[in-house]
Amino acid sequence: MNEESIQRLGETLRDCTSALLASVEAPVEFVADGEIEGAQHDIAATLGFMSEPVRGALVITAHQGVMRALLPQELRGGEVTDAQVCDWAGEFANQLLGRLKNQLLRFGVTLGISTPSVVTGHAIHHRTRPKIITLCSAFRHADGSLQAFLDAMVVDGFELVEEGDAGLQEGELEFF
Amino acid sequence: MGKKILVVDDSATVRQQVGLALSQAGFEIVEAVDGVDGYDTIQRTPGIAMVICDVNMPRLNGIEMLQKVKEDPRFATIPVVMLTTEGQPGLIEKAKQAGAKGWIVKPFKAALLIAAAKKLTA
Repeated sequence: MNEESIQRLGETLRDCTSALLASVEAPVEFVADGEIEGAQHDIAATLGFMSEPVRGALVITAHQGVMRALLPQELRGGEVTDAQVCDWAGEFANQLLGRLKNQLLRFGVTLGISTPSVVTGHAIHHRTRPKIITLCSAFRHADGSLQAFLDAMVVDGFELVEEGDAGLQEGELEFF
Repeated sequence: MGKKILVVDDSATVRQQVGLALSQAGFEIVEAVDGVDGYDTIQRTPGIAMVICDVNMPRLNGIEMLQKVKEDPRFATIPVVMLTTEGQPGLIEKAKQAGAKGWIVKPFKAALLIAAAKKLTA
């Protein structure tokens, strides 16, 4: 994959993450297209994806306080359990990969996606691996930070060339 | 008691969010955690007026559950709306062909969901 396609993929990751964060109406600030040094995150959520030209995983790492703050607004007021924060981290990653999937339709890529898995721990750190494209978008909130990583293995010669429309937009309803 | 709506989603948070919106609008909510649980719940719960169903779920996904419901003459007339992160036209068409009444891409606005529920249970 050439630099232009990698940049396009990185922009798509950043835009989709920003849009999802905006939709939950939490005060989050974009930091960088890259990892925050020593972030010490304590929750991670991941989903795998697969298509003919590209396969890999989306990984979110964050401070649990941030995931708590990103809960749907109507659920923030009451008591929030750790189990609920974990469930939401998985759903948040699911919604982010859904957005990415819908945007990648523009480039003729149709992803199949897994269900999410969530991990909690101390100082969780995403490791990059050789021969895999890793992109990251980092965001900061008053309660900590959140990073979205996209690990992608791409078949030789595949480039992101716009050839169609994105899928149905988030928040839209279509009656049949 | 309001009309009964079954919410099928593997995320407890989404079930809670949907349930809160619809119960405030006067609907009674029944929950299921995946397609298998959803189909079981339809069979053992009388009077379900509508189903709101995720697509990407373990065991039995939402499209597979929709197909089972529509193939069963006891439940074929229950309106089903898919509520999912998926916006892929091929999947939407598949759901339409299987008999779904609508498709909403998450995250949803409560007002939109309530309007859909009122329209389809009228």
